[in-house]
Amino acid sequence: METIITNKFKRSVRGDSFTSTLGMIIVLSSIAMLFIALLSAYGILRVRSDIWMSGSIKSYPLTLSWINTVVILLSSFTFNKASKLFESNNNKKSLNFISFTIILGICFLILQTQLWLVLTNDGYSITSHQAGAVFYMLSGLHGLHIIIGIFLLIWLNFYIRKYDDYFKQMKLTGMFWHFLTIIWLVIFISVIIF
Amino acid sequence: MSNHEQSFMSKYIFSTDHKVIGKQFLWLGIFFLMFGGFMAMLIRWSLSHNMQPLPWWLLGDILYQNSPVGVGIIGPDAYNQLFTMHGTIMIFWAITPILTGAFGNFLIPLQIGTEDMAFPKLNMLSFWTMFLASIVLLASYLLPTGTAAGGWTSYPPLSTPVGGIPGYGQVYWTLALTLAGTATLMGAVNYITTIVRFRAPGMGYFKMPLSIWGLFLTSILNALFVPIIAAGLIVLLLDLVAGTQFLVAGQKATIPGGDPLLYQHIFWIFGHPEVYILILPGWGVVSDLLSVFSRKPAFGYKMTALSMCTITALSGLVWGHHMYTTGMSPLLGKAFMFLTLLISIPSSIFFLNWLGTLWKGAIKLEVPMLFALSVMWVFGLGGLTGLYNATITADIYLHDTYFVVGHFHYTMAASVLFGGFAGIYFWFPKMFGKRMNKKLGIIHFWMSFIPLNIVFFNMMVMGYAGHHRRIFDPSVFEFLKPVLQLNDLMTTFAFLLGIGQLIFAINFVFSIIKGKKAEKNPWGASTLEWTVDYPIPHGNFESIPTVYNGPHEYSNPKVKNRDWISQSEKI
Repeated sequence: METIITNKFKRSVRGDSFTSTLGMIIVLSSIAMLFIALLSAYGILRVRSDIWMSGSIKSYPLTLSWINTVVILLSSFTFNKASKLFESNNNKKSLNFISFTIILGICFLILQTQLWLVLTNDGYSITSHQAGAVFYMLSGLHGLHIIIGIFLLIWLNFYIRKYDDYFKQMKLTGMFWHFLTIIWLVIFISVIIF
Repeated sequence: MSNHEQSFMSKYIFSTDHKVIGKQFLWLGIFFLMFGGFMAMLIRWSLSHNMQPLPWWLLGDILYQNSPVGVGIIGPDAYNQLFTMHGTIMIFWAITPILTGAFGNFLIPLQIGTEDMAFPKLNMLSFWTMFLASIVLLASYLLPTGTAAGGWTSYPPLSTPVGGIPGYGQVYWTLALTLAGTATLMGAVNYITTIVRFRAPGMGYFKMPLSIWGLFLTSILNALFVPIIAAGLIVLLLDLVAGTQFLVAGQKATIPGGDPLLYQHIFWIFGHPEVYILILPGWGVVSDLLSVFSRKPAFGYKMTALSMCTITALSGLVWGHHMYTTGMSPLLGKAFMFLTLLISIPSSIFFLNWLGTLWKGAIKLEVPMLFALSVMWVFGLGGLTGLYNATITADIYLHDTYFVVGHFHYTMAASVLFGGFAGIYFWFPKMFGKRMNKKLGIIHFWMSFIPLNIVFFNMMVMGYAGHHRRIFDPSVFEFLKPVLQLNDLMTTFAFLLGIGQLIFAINFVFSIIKGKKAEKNPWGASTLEWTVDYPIPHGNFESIPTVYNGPHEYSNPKVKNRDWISQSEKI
């Protein structure tokens, strides 16, 4: 569809990159509001309680969580690399880096399950105290979004193989993926480390 | 988007056309409006004829046959379920689909002058998610323990398994609401993006009809605050099914540190913007209609739009006024009271603008105008009674009484409902290509306006006398004896109100089948949707119009022969 230009306004083209970006920004602000609400609920519960980690575990297994954080940061980095390579028209390499991102995303999920298993084996369950409930709720919800993100990345991988013009798809998937990294960092700092 | 041939399925069922999706939302909304309205009749029957069998005309031969208190009798548990589902259905399944779903979808692309929504497939997904939510909600009635019964607010401990109401009704309620919220979010993403990106050339923000302003602000509130209730629902769902105790406190709690008030805060951070989510499209529609039927440009158009923006911003800061009696710090209470009372300033601005629009106008009392005028009356009353609820000293006495019920029925129910009716009567010719019967419309108006005022006004009287909002049998209280007769009066008029809505339903269906064919612009309105012929093709406009005028170009002295000019016509 051609752009109609008048003296005052340039009309947007249907399906252009900025329109989709705006849609994605609204979606992401919605998800951000969801996590903000849950994190403030966590803050209130935590401030009110006398001893927060009252169960069998006094702190989270930090080594495992750190590895996990590095993995997801690395995945954001590889995705960034992929989009840079796409801009310099190196499509094949770009695809490789998207595959790396998918693998790192799956690694993150596996490590997260490992973290859950370590904790539950030590009797740290969702029903034993508020700290456990908050931890499993936030990390679980984030994990669900990561699963959606991985599906998006797999879809992007197929899309790039099939079509030539995938700048928009790449940008939107990237926004979603980097956003999840940021959310994880916030959860990691506020729930696990703090 | 060309006007190509489509199969039946892709044209009427899984359509990506915003007009079809809008109509789908309209049918869904009207169905649930009737459903929720019928529940209101049952509630009224139970309040005035407590523990008496339902008569045949309230389906007494079919409903409550296995009731533990006797055949055809509404027991206390059933009563709790009734008022819970009445509130939930009316707010999330009737008002939201009609005002935001139907009008939003139908009007936004037509009024801003574009072919369709920004993301048509997402739009379709939005309706079908809503449909799924409706099925989950209705399925909860099939549970042996019945549906949710914790009130539409679902405060813990009523809604949590520890010390709450038994059964899985609450779980279904939570899931259904999550799905409905997701559908609303998809709609919001579409509406905001479409309005920001696809206004026709020349259509600046301050040339948009006020209906679009209302829908735009509603969508912003939806995008930001529906996720908050999602957070509350997640916490509630985990308490219900995973055994966490986020919202459980006191002796029943096995884990220390849970807090039922946490849910109340989360609920009302969403809940107060929600009432503006419901009413903003109504305000917009009424502002436009008053101008059309006064044959005058809307008075203070910019101030109306800006005051609606101010209310949108303030609505997120006032949730505490729902919780004065929860023992919050007096300083916090006063802050919330101040912010709440501040809302009356922008409200008064656009209310005065409405009066200014009417002033010296050539008022035409068509059916949509009657409903638009009645919105001014009911919203005026609802808004004024809001001041009492916002003031701590008055509210501590009035909290949770029928005064509050009367107040929010005047604002949320009556204003929004009448705004919705005004819109349906007004845009019916463009939606279905037919005129609605005017005589039946006027009968519907009077059968709505008079009974509704008698019912809701007396609610406030009873609330002032101390009638609690959720008691099952008011006759057991000594202090309510003097006002009990009002309950019978309200019930009688509630039934009249119900019959009035049946007239609307009959008029609606028969006008679609046998109504008089409508001309292109029956009301002489200047917004863009009236420049296209019915049936509107899939791509709406033959070529995208260029906008030269504001949305309310009536009685312009430069125009000869007629008193209106379309937004896309050059003077």
